[in-house]
Parts: sequence; C-alpha cells; structure tokens
Amino acid sequence: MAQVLAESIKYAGEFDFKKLISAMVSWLSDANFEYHESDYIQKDNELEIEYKAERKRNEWFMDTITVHYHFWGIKVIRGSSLESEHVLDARLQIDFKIGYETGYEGMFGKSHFRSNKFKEWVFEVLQKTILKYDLKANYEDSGYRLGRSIINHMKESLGMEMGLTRWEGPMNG
Amino acid sequence: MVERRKVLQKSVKYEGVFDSKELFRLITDYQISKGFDLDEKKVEEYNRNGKKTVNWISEAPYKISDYVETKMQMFVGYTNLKDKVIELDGKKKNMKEGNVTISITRWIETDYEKKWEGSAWKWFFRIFAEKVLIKARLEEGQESITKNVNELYSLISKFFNVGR
Repeated sequence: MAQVLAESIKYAGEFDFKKLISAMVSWLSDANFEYHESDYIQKDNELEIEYKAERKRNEWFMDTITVHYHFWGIKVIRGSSLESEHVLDARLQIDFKIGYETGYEGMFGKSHFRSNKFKEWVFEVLQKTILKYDLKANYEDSGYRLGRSIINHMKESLGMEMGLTRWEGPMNG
Repeated sequence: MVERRKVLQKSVKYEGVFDSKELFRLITDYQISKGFDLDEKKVEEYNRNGKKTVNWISEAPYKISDYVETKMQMFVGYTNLKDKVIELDGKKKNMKEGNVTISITRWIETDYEKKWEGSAWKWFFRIFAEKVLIKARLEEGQESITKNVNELYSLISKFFNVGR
C-alpha cells in the first residue's frame, strides 16, 4: 500500500462531537467510499476512534483513507450521546492517511498466487513499467486532491480559521 | 545528502481587524496559481475563553529539475484572535481582531532525490557540477525564488495595508 498524503489537525476548544463525526461520514459517502469503524477505545475522559475507508476505482486500483481521532481532556458542555446535540470541550488530534493499493484483488502475487512466479513477474512489470506513469499522473495526483478535500472539509466542520474553501479537489478523482 | 540553503526570509506583523479566511485564501491561491503543491506541516487551533491561537506551517515544494527543488515555507500565527463584526458599505461583516505574524522562507534544495551520495566520486562530481557546470542555472533559480517571495510579500502587505 502506498501513501500519498499524511497530515494532522490539532484543535482545542468547544465542538459538536456528532457534527464532527457525521461531517466525515457524509464526505466519505458522497465520495462513494465504503467505510467502517476499525478501532474504538474509551478510557476515562480520553477517546480514540479510527475509521478506514476504501473505494475501488477498477480491478487494479483502490483508494484508501484512514482517519484517526484522538480526544483527551473531554468535558461535556451540553447534550449527550443520545441527543442530537453533543457539545464537548476537549483537545483533539485528527490524523489523516491517504493512499492507494494496487492489485488488491489478489490476482497477482498475493494469497494463493504468491507461489506462481510468473504472476509475480507480471505484477512487477505492470506496477514498475507499464502503469508507472499512469499511477503517478492519474492516481497519486487525484489521491492528493482527495486528501486535501477531506482535510479541508474537516477543518471547516470544526470552524477552523485555516480552511481552504476555494480549493476543493474533485471527489471522484 | 540533501543540501538545503535558505535563500530569503521575509515577515509581516500586524495587529488589528482583518478577514482571516480571506488572508488564507490569498496565500493559498497564490501558491496554487504558481504551481506549488501544498504540504501542511502543522495545523493547530486552540480556542480558550473566546480567544483563539492558531499556528499554521506549510511547505510548498516546487521541482525545478531532477536535481534542484525549491520550497516555500509559510508560517502564519494568530494570537488573541476574537470575532468582530464591522459595518462595511452599510452591510455587517464578520471579521477577526488579533495579532498576526506571517513569515515566508524560501529554501533551495539540491540532490533531493539522493542520487548523488554514497561514494567520494559521486560527491566530487556533484560539487564540481554545482560550482562550475550548473552554477548559472542555480543562480537563475534563486532569482526566480526571490521574485516569488517578493510578490507574495507585497500581496500580504497590501492586504494589511502596511506596505510603503
């Protein structure tokens, strides 16, 4: 799996927890990603949540996004997890990892195909020669724009000053 | 080893009322229009007692060739930032009030792909090329860097109306 962009946002202050999570989830749905909560750890006033999302572009290429939330020093200001509003005061860090995976179907060099040297060789030729510039020009660049777009969206949902509102990358690559 | 040299650094300090989002757009629009990528190194915002502290560091790399790359490093820092509503042409507008520090630093990096390292011969040829063969091109690159920094600096100065 190759990584295109890895960035973090740090924030301290009041924010609506439900709005923050739903902002990310709605962005992922709009961009046709399949997502799941891969990690959830709660301890006293500390909370860690990780979401993993994937989007298949074709049989060869898949976009991947990992969003890791870490909240600490959490104080509930108003509302609760059962109500529509759940305003917290906390420090938080959101880590974004945007990347891609090639040959994800396991056609070449994975699982039971690993033993077949010819398929491994075809995989290497495709990856390093035939699709090399295609990967860089089409997939890596669009992955970068995708990453910028979700980071900007999250910054805006937190009402941060440093939100890029004018530069929104196309979500479908 | 990648060699990194600082070419130019300029900074602006301002205290008063301004549109923070418009300032941010101005900076990023300039960088994008000049073909830079945007690599955010630090995005921090702390909101305490209605006052915000913001630290934003970005590095915008621009490849001149396989051997030379330039980087525009921007630091934007806000302290004591508060909401302020002002009336402009009879319309109410949301602005910010606080202290701003902006610093633009331009770097030039050679051998960023780390192809010319590992042996004494490679190092020798690299130094020879830099001092003799591509010296003029490197100087030319430095001039264009200076031009970019000055352009952005004057745009920011005009935005705050602090230019002379």
